[in-house]
Amino acid sequence: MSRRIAVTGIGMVSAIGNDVPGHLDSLKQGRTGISQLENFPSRYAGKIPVGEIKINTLILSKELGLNNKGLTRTTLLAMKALREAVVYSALTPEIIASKETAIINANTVGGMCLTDEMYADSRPETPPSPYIPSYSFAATAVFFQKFYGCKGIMNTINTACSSSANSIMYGARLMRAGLAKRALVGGSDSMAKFTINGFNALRILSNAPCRPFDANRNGLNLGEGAAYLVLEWEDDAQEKPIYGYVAGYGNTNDSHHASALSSEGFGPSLAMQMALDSAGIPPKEINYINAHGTATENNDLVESVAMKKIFGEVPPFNSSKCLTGHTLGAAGALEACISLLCLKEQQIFPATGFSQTIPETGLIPETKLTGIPLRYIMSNSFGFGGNCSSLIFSKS
Amino acid sequence: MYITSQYCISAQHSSSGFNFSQAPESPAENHFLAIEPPYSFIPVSSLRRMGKLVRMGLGAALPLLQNTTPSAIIMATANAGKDDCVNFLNQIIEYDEGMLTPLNFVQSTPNSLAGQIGLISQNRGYNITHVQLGHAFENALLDAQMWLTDHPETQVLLGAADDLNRYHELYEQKAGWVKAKSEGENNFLDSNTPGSFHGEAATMFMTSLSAKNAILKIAAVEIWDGEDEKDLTDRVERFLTAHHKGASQPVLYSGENGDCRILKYYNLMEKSILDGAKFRYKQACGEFPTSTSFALWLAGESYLQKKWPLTLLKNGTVPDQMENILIYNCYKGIQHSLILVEPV
Repeated sequence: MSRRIAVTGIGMVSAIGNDVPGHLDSLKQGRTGISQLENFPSRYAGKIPVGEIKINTLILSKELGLNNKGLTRTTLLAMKALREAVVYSALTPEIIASKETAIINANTVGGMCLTDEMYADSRPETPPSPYIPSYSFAATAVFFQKFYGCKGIMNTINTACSSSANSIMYGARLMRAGLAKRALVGGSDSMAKFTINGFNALRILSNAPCRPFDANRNGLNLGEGAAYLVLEWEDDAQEKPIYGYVAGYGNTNDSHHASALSSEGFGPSLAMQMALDSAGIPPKEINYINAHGTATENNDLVESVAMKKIFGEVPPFNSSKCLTGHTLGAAGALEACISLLCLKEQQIFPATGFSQTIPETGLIPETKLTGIPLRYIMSNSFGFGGNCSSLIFSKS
Repeated sequence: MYITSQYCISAQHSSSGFNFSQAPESPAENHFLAIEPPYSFIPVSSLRRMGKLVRMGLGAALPLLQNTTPSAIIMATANAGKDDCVNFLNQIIEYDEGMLTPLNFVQSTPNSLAGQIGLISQNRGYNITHVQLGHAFENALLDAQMWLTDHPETQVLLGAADDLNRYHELYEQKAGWVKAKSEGENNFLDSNTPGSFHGEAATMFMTSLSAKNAILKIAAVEIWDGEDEKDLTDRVERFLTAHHKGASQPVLYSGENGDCRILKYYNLMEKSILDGAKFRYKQACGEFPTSTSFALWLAGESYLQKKWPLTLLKNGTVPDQMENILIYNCYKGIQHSLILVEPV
């Protein structure tokens, strides 16, 4: 990869911050966003902790000045993070709308965040709600297109929980193929009765703040959020602050089970190896891994096994999901942004919830704010359907 | 990029090819439901648990994977998972978030088809699902082209699947996109009212950069969003000047769907083609977001059997020999696409 793709802007919203500075502050302090559900009624409110953004949807739409009927929380969160990213990258509305700008979005369940509205609309006798077009998985990207009048490539990718890692990879590939000069890439998902009940039915929601890579972990905390990155060619970004470079990526399928990873970690290890190969670096060059680390029994063991297989001596690693919760379709992009902040600050941010190593693998995640030279960072994202992706970002 | 093999499950008996000599199967009521073949490649135990879309998608993909191991599985869908989504929603509401079974939830993300294809064929290659509504298939096409350019010696399984479940149809109807049966008594494409007859299909292609054993060549793809009529005319002119190498006009496989609100774009498109033959493929498959995958399959069938689908002809002069085919579709008046294919 000779000509380099730089990240010239990032935007983030999650339970640990409304913007990038807010995230940086929480990350450095190791301040968790895991709390009790408040924004909508559910029988699990007060029982299952979540990474919820404490801004209700109405206030969010007012703050953004978007009063369009039928906009979902997923789209509003997306708009909030996208706007921040384009401000940092100084992209004008004309540039965003340009034929040379691709916008690649990602989510998991799209409009399913509107559990109750969608249920009502699925009854023949009820009058239509204004949300019907929002049930499409592409609704957020369709809104971006209309809002900015985009003329470039618009796309939405779905690979479940690795969706937005793939939107980053896809944006970079479009640029390398000459189909776009720059790309706005990322993803968004909001807290929903739908996903709470889904993960609960799978019995992988923890009843306490989650504990990635701990021997006694007992499941994940759901989160919500959105994150976007502006990708530009290094030589087009001379005047801009550069957060880091997209150095490599890998995408594979574990081909094992619809909702669990193979115990051998075929998919995760192959994704990491592919990312290393595409970056053209040996494993020892990686200084830190921002792991998928959902804190489910299956993921953390398999990911540990896979990291040991690829790295032998595993570099410093941890999972940000102990702070943000699992933000599903936003997770890949949110954790990519966190990785870029690590590169910028030359610091590894602390993870919470760990006390005892997983006996089979004995790996210890980073729990303290640590300043070390960071040149290459790997970020992992794995999803249902066996979709495993790994990204590598570099400082220079 | 070339298509070397293809398979389609649709409202026609398409799993055994397109029947050019008979009138297409008519829509049942006001929609086109797929005629599903016996799924001999799928284990019966798995078949029972699958939603219709995954079943149709796998049923179309597995025959192409018998002798070929692609380096990538690239899928397109707009509706995948919707049926399972609503079934899971029903559980949530009806059992008041009580003890629910997770199967519908696990299958509710659109990547479940690509994941299942990877799982059953034990394929650990690049695996992705594009869900950009009426541009999902075109984006998947671009992805396949990019992937093959980077991996020129390999093949890619490219496909699209959308099913017509009752919930999806109800949303479309409430939003004003469905025609009543009475509006399409003769031909729903000529009813001059809003809405369309909806349909479903799963269509799979094995693609490669090599022309060896190829059915057709995909010469160019262009996609754009918008409502500007002048933009359409300009783009078509530029597109054909740049990519259409034939001496005569290309044949048009038009996505005209009987919705009077969108007809203006198809009429403009026909003007650009002048006296070339215009076929309306949705008369065989109905309207759905990835319908251009059916049109591409039909183009492949036309070349394979060296016949034009005269039962779908709207007007124009039908050429004696095989010509380039231009597929044009406009989804819901916003998402436009052009796909130009050449015989090999």
